[in-house]
Parts: sequence; structure tokens; C-alpha cells
Amino acid sequence: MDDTDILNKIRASLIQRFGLEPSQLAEDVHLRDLGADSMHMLEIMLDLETELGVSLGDLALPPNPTLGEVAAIISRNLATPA
Amino acid sequence: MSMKREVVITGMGVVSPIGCGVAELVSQVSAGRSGIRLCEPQWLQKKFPGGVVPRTFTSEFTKLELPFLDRCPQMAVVAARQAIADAGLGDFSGYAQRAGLYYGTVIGGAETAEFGYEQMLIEHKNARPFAMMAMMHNAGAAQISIRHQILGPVLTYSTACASSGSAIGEAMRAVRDGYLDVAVAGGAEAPLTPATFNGFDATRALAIPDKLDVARSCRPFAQDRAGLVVGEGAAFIVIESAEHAQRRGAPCYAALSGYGIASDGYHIGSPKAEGEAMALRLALTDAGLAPADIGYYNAHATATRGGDAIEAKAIHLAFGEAAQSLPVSSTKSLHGHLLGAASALELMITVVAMTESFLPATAHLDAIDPECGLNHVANYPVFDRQIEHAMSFSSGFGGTNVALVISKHREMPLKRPSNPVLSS
Repeated sequence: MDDTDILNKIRASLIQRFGLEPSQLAEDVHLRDLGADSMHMLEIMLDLETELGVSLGDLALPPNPTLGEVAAIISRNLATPA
Repeated sequence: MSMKREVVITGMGVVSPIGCGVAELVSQVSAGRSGIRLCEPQWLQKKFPGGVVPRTFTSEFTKLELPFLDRCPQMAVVAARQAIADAGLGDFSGYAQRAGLYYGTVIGGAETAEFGYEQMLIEHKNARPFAMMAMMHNAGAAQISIRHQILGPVLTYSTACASSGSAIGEAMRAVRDGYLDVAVAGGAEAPLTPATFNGFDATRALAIPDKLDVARSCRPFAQDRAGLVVGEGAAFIVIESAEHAQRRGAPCYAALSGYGIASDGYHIGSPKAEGEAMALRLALTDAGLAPADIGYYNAHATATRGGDAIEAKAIHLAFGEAAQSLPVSSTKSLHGHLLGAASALELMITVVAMTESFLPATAHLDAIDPECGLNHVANYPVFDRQIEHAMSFSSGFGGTNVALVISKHREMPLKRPSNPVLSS
């Protein structure tokens, strides 16, 4: 699973849980521009953990990341053995 | 900083079992229409009467906001928004630390808390990231402060069923003593959840559904009273110094003229007449009034066997001979006991009684309990009754007693609920 797959899962979760529109969810859009914050992203990560059957552990997100940055961090975390 | 200023009520907002919006509240109270319905909480093999707000508020918020908002803060935000708009205000940032928010709640985000237990114990899932922020007691206060940029004191009072009364009283003092120009004060509660019903049921204080008509289940002061009926909702008022209101050309519903607070120091679950009477006396003194000046008294009376008789005794202790002619009613017969929102809702009913010149009734009061002997406004409201001063009283588990006095303002332009429909 690469960054794009993860980005798409994040997008699907944002649409389903928080009613965001697909057109809003560009790779370089920042969370704050979506009206979202780190709490919303935590919820998305819980969805991913359930869906992929993994534990993402301690993910340090930078302040107000882009969706692409979140996807890359998750992807790196998945690649690292726990 | 200390200077005594007159405090006036310039905005009101409400979501309650008997109306969303003040105009609807007037119409329901003056018609004596009950908002008590049958509740069938999940998990429990039992039905209860409840003061139900028959709508959801999720459409008022975005899906990004909703996870942070239990039903309790949802109703708080909606009612406060109404009150603030009614006062002709919106964003308080220009007031910096001279605007405050005073909030009362007893249980806070009950639905979220219970859902969390369900997830943990039954579904064996982790909590959602938003749970703490949705269930914490001050969530309603914080959500209002964030939305309206109230940047001074944002305080949450939890004094059981006197919570919003103490919030309003303390807000009044802060404005009167010159610390604030304006305050939003009130309370919210969303307690119609399985564990809350179960907990109250265990105290043996809850009414059972009336066999003929569930809407008649709450009967304060009646010989056949059968216990309290829990209700949900939120009620907020905007108060400000009279000088501040006049400067911005805002009319007022009434002056908030007296606040009395006293504690029983007696028992965690039983009230004491002497403590209640002390709050009533202090409120009269604070307003500079004699007992005979009060033209209407909205009682705390929840329809429990012990509590109503103790309040009747307290009224006699505090009002003396004037108790013979003091019109008394408990509108909980219509809306149930809104816990953290009770005092604020009942104060609001007292305000509209004054602006619309009628005495609200205790519904379903066919046979008055002799132990609750008072000048009851029984069954039907009394219309065309001018009220110059009125009092609303609340008493909480643990012994905190709060009395609030309002007075008709003689100099400022008077405000009335928009498009009130007075049923007679």
C-alpha cells in the first residue's frame, strides 16, 4: 500500500464521517482550510487502524499538516515494524 | 472597580419541552399545555414520563462540529444563540474581558458518556477522540464562548438543580459590581438517557407514567403527587447593566433585582426549610423588597412527597403573613425538571408572566395537599394580572438554594417576546 492508497482512504473517511466534498480534498490542502483539526485526523486514523488491522502507535503530526503529509507519515509508520 | 449598577434582562432564548423560542414558551405556558411524554430508555425494561424536546439539533451544526457536541451542548449553543440575537448582540470580542458566560449543568454530556461505556464494555472498542470534549461539564459554556467570542469569565456551576440559578445570580453580581458590562447566563441538560433514568429511579423519586394521560404525570403540591419527571432543554438570558443597555438603545424585559443564595448544611439528598427560607429572605433583602411586594412566586416544587411540603414551609417562614396572598405555582407540571436548565427556564417563565401579565398555573392540581397549603394558582393561569415583582426559587441536591427576583423596569423601554400568542 503506497501513499496514494492511504491518501485515498483518508479522503474516503473524511467524506463519510465529516461530510466533506471530494473536490475539497487535494493532496496539498491543509487541515485548517477544511475546518478540521488534529482531533478529526485522530478519528480518521482510528478508522484506518480498524480497516487495515494495524496499530499506528505514536504519530506526531506537524501543526496544520496537508493531507499528503498525513498520508506520508502514516505510510512511514506502516513500513516500520512495531 | 466596585460600584452597584442596575442589571436588566435584554435577551432570552430557550429550547424546552414546551417550546423552542420564547414566543412558543409563552403560548404553551399560558395554555397550560404539558410537554411531558413517554420515554422508553434503551436497556431498561421500564417506561418513564420525561420532559422531551421533540426534535434533534444535529442539522444546526456541520459534520466536523458534531463529534464535539453532545446533545447537551448542542441545546446550549442553540438557546444561547437565540438569546444573544434577541438582545441584538452576536460577537462579544469588542468587550474583551468585560463579557462573561455563566453556565449551569448537572450531568453534562450524558449521552456521550453512556455511549463511551457501551463501546468499552459491550463492543470492546476504544473511545472516540472527541469523547472527553463532548462530555465534560463545561462543554456547553466553552462552545458558546468560542462561537460568540466571549472572552471574560466563562464559568460552569454545578449546584445540582440550582445550577443555572447560581450561574445567573453570580453573573448578576459580576455585572452589578462593575466587573462586566454584559453576561450570557443559563443552563442546559440532556438527561433522558438510560443510566440517568436508572439512577434517578433508584432514589425512588421518579414519577411513573400517569395511567390515563402521560402528560399529567408531574403533579407538584397535589395530594396524589407521585414524584419528579426529568426533562431536557436549555435556557439562556442576556443581562447587562441598565446604563449599558440604554447606551446601545436596547429595551429590557425586566430588571434582575435580587439574588439570594444559602446552603442547608444538612443532608446530601434531603432539603431543609430553614436553608431554603434563608435564600428567599436574602433575595428579598437584595432586591430591597418586603414579602408583600412579590406578585408571583415560581416554585421549585418537583412533585416529590417530601420536597414540596418543605418548600411550602420555607415560603411560610420567609414570607410570614404575606404567604397567604402570594400566588404560587410550579410549572414543572408542564415541562418537568430540567436539572441544570431548571432555574433558567423557570426564571424565563417568571419573566414572561410579568411581561404578558398573567400568573402561570400548576397544572393537574385537582386536590391540594394540606401539607402544601399556599395561595396556589391551580390548574388554570390567571390572566390580566399586573406583576411588579416576582421570584423564582430553586433548590439542589446537596443543599444549595437559590432565589432570583425580577422587577418591572419603570424607566427603560419594555420588551416583550416577539409575537407572543397568549392563550386564554
